[in-house]
Amino acid sequence: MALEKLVGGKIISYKGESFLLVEKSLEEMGDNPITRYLAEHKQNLSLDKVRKRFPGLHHVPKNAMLYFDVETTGLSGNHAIFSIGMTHLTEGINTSCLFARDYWEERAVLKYFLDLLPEHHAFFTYNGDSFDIPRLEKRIRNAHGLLHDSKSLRDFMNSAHIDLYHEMRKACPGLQDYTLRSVEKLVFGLSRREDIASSKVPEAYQEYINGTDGEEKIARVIQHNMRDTLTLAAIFAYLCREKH
Amino acid sequence: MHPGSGFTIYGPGFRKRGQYVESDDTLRTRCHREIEQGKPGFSKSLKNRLAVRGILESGRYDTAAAKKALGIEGPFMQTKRGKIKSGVLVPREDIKRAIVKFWPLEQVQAWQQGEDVKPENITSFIEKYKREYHSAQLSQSHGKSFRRMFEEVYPTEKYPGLYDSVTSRTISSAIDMRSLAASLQSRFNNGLPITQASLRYSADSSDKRLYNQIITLITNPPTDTPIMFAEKRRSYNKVVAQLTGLDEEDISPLRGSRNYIAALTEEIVHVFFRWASLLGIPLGNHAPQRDIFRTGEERKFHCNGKECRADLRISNNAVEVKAGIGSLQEKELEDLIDKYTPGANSWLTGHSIEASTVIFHTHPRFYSHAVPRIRDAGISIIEYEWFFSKLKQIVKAIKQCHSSAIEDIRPRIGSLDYLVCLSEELVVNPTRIVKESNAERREWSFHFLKSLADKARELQDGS
Repeated sequence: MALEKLVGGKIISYKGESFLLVEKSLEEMGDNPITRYLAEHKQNLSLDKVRKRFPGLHHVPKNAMLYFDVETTGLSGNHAIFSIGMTHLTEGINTSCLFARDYWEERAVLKYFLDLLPEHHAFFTYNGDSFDIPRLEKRIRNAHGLLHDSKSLRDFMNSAHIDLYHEMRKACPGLQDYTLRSVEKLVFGLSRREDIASSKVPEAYQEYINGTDGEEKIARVIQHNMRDTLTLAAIFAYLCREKH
Repeated sequence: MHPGSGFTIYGPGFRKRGQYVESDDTLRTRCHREIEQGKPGFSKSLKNRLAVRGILESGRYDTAAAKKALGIEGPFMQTKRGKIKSGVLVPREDIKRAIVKFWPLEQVQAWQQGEDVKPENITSFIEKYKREYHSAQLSQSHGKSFRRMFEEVYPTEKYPGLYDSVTSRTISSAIDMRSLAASLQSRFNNGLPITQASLRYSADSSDKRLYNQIITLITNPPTDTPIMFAEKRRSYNKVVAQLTGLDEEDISPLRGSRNYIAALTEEIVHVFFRWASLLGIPLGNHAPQRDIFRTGEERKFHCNGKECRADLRISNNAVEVKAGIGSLQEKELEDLIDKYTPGANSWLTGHSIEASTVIFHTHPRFYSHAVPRIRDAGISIIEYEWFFSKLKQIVKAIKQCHSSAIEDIRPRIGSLDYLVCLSEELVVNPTRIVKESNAERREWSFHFLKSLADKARELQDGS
């Protein structure tokens, strides 16, 4: 079965190149503690609460916040980014995934992502300071030459980037560890048993590119990537809650 | 005086039995022998003998007087600017006089006051006052520095920037680092190399200027230098990486990058002919042919007693692919004509090479000079623009007629349009795909192209 049918996505042709785009609403992401938490605590993401908790975001309209997470084929900057998961807050909570069906489509994915940045005024990642943003910068600049001046990715982000990993460390001191899985488990009570392990993601992509039946596994990776970004929104909602 | 015309000198300061000095003929012969040997100066023993011989001329140890008496000139020193007399130094005062004469005080003062006067360049001075320059530059007694001598005449405190101006040196404080970084990034993004060698030996003076600026930052960092330039172990690549924000490994092209470009291009050409043959698309002189050989003995032939391999053999025709950056050299051109002149050589299978085609999958500036000679030899040429338009046609036809077959190919490809993009990239921006950061895409492209060509053969065999 074709991947786009399996994940309910569509092939997007963007500036002469193509990639797979998967878009889902919160309801379509299934019932789990994270989606339930987001549905119940949506009001935590209201502008007044956000601005109260993060005064630096006073200028940011609600629908201009982007939560994102990247999946790569390895840990170094020479490894490709094949998937970017994103969650936007518009009328509802929507999540999407830009997926490169081969190594060339990474270019289209990055171009699309780069063009999305000016539409947003605040960006949220989990450990993005150390991983996602430097990795994106390297791929955009070095591998594909998409940044033609000395402007860095952070310049595009207008410095309004919040690394939720650091915020969680400050907000919940004393946790055993602060991996996204642990935070999901300890804060939201979610255990993703059926989900693919992060360490197996590069392998899954290799299998998809080279193998004959990697579609199902890679569909789980896409799902995993989108869920991660939902967790980011949930963490942000958790951080913006009113403490009693 | 001795019978052989040598003589012994006695007197205060000499040993009791006197100092023997060879005859003038013997000294002259010895001098000429050492000059012929091309040594930078006379040997110590000869200089001693000449000095003693000088006593007879001027009453003191005097090598110059002895040489004058014997009629000896030289030896000469080989310098960058040619041969100069090494034995005789130009006195300091003469050098200073030459400096003042060449760069008159009025002119220097006018320059200092900001008038539109540019002091003459040092190269003109060296041409005119070769001995003066080298005496200052090479002699220990003159401080081994022309600059020092120059600054004795025009001190830096009084005339700041004058020496830099006459030597046209790049001054580190005057370098606009933002603009330098932008220029380097722009070159990099346009696929042009930014290695040390590519800038240094470029025929374009603006490239050399970039190189000079980088080297100045390394050797003579500005005083308000960022930490990156103040490091002890700074290198060209490190400084460029710091300036541009690139990885060091991306600055130097990957070893064997030429081979990668060639291998990928050859595979594209293979795919091109295979699918054109399957789809029945005529390619100029090439009617669709089934017998296409990319590997094996069939594509080998002998030329000038050596075993050679064509990039592709289509029936009895040879196809040679030229790709990458770099002008076609004379030797390569001769080699090409020797190998591929129709009828000149035979395949190992015994058939003669009936016709040959060279595909220039590169920018015309690299090969246009060679086109008439190649055509005169009877070799046909396919240029990139024609190749590109046909490739688009082939890709369109594959998508229309064989889309399900393409889905079966492993490694997978999202869209076959990549073939056209890759072909264009290899011509317009060939250094991009050979970067370390594109290693995964490079390997994937290579395997995919092979699988695509195999698929065409499989379909052809099945039909």
